[in-house]
Amino acid sequence: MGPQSLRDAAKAAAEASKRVERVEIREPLTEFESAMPGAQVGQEASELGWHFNGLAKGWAKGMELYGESLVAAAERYEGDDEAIEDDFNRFRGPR
Amino acid sequence: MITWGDVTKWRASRVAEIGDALVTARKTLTGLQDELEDSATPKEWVGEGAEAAKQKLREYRQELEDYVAGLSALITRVDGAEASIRQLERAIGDTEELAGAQFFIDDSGVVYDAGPDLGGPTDPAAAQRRAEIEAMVEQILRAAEDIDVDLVDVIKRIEDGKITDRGATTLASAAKQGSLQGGVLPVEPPVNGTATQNAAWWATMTEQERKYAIASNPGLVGNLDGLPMKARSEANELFLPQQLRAIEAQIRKHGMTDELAAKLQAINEAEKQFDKGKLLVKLDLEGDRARAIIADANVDSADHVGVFVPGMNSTVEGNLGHYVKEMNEVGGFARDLLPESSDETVAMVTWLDYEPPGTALPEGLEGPMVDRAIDGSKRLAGFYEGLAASRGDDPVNVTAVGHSYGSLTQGLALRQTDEADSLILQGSPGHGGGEPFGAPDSSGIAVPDGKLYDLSAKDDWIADIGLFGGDPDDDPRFTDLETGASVGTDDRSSHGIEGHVMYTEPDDRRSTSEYNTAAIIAGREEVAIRK
Repeated sequence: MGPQSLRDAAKAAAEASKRVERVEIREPLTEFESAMPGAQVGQEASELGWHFNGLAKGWAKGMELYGESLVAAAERYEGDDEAIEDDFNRFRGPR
Repeated sequence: MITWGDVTKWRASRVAEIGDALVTARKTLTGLQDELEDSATPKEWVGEGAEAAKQKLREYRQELEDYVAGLSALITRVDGAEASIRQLERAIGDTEELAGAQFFIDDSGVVYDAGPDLGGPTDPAAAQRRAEIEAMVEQILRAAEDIDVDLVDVIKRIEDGKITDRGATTLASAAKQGSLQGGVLPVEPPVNGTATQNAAWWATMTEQERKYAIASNPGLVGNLDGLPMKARSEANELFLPQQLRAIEAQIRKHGMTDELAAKLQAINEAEKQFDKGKLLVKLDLEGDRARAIIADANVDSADHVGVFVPGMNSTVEGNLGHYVKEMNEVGGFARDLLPESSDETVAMVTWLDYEPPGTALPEGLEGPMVDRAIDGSKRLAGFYEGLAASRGDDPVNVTAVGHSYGSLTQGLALRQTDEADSLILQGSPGHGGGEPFGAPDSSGIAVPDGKLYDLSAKDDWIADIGLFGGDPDDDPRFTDLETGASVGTDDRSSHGIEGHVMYTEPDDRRSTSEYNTAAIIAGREEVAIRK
């Protein structure tokens, strides 16, 4: 294994992060209010839109950090393995 | 609370657009499978740092799979809502068409008669139409509430983390698992609903929901007046094995009895009718005896429907099959009498959803009791109401045919509903005139004047006794039809009959009694042969 393998994995993680960040769910969910006037789903769907977007953004951020950590790991590959563990444990992810 | 004003503005096309946008988002997400695989750390990388990285990626994959599952559940529910709202749009259109210019439905769903109020008595036809509109409005609002509740339900479950990937290992399979968790349960039918309410309930459901309703609760759906009879039959076919198991369980518990043996034979008879392509509109085994309704397969679309009710000593296990044969023959003769250029169709129903008395002891001791006819007439009236409601705006010419004690059951039923166009009594010991049913003549029978017919064969003494009141022989509303040998307007000869039980005997030969019965059923009263 070489640092390039880690950099390739990091690149894939960054790509996944970008694509998830661009996913738009909140906007269509606000349309329930006009598609079904008087229904409770109008408000509930808008809130779900925020919920979905929050999850997506958190996930994208987490994957971005994961990718950055892989890059850092690649750079320090020949260094201290314990430091790499610390690197991955420094963030809590998208929860 | 959703109002009529709200629901008339609901648009399935807008909901479809939301669904499409969500599907696009899901496609983006499930397309990330390669990136997730490629994000994995190299196998050769080992040690604590490598383990921490692997654990983190596992968590991210799990989160994305659950996310996709939740989104898929929502998409499934939104798709279901779209289909249901399309049904609602149709039902709203039908309701507004029925309301026409005479009735006005305000935003809250209250129906007003927009016609002039001159303080006179309410027109029964208008009152009936108004009741139908009110039932439809009520059902539409109920269906709308259910669509809303179903959508909110899935949203809450997603937010509470209750929709998961159920162990899926790819984003695509997570999507599939989510879809399964987003399925919609159809609205339950109205409790103790009228035929009109049941029909309105059915009209608001999608095909998928109807299939689910049949599959999930066949015993209930199969018993609902107002639903298409084909749907009821499908439900009853599914329900048969459950009925069989229930009878077998009773046999294990109590041992074989005459009653249970008869019910086993009744199930066997019902299966035979299926095999012959008939619809099992009902099979009820809850009473002392089995009760059943058998119909021709085209009954939901036929232009002319004859409903035959047999009399004493009739049972599902004993002679239902024979009556079905009789109606096959009469239905065939009725088709023969339709004009050659006509594309009209005929369907026959053999209605034995009651327990007519038997002459054998101990039941024979009941003598001329009317209780069984009264009990049956309520269900028979419901059947006619259901037949009319299930057809909606599709017109159907309904002829009620009652033989012997069955003529009493028909007479009593048609005092409770006006959904039959003609009535034929065969060998009638009375249609129920006088106490306790009301007027001694047929004036209470809600069949148009000129559409009541009597067949009374030579040497049929039962047809002359007037035992149950309302002897059609003495009633000017009834037209006496010939039962002796004759030649029909089709130049075919028909043989005469004698006695009480030969009115529609299935012997591949046409009797005058069958010819006349067939002529009325086919709407060809002008070719019937009068006495």
